[in-house]
Amino acid sequence: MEEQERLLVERARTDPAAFSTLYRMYVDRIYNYTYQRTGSHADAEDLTARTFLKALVHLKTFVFRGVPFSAWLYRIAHNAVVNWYRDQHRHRVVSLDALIVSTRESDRLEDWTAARQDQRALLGALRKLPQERQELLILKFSEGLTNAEIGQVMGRTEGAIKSLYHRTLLELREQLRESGTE
Amino acid sequence: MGQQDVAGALATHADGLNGTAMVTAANLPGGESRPELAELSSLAERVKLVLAPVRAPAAYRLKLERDLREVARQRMQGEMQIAEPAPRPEWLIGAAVALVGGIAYLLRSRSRSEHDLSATPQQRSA
Repeated sequence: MEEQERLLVERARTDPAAFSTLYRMYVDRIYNYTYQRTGSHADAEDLTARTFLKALVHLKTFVFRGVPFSAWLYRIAHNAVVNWYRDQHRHRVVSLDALIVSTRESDRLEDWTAARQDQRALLGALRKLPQERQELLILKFSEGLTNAEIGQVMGRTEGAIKSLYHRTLLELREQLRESGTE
Repeated sequence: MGQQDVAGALATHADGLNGTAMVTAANLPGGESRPELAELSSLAERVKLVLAPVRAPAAYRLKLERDLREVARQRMQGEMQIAEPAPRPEWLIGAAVALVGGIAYLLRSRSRSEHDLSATPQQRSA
């Protein structure tokens, strides 16, 4: 699989059709990742497009050195999300809570036709976690990556990811307790 | 059970949620950490539900693929133009410039000497 992907990436450097194949393999995963990070379909569309455009432009610089193509893509998407957050903070002067409820999560709450109160509370608590911890939970539960794969995306060892996951759950439980929903 | 063991058990439970391991909250290791593990693994199960994956809309997927193909095509075309070999080596261009300059110089000096020869002594002294 990895060898096949390596050959595909090699071909994609000179063949647009091969890049399309890579795109079709990963578009849903990158879209989901950016959606989970922003809570907005419009922003997910924008960030997904930016991610693949950047991948296309920089494909020649990508080399297989223990990091698979998918991890490289997630890193590009992660940087796009970080820039998105920076721009959000630059352009909008509203409280974080208001931002969570009124803008970022509006699409998601519409997606939940029967959104339950505890799901809202959990999502609110998730959003209060540091970015790195949110990312870990998204990669683990929404993208279904293994600890080793998450380690490749986040530049950490598998053991460090396990430990971070434990601390993240503890912090999340604390957030829920503080908000009185646990 | 140490912190590392708890972290390991939670990680295995999470793999079970993702279908990559056969571990559920019910068969987590026992001991004094069991209530803590049960609580955190239950929280993890709720997180997984909240973060249910979504797919990109089909129309968006197709449009972005078309746009990317076009960008890739244009980039490759541009690179091919840049990568085309230079028609002549640099030294040849330099030699051609020098040759043209030399010819121009010769023609100029020749026309000047002809002009000098055809001029009258008065014109020459003027």
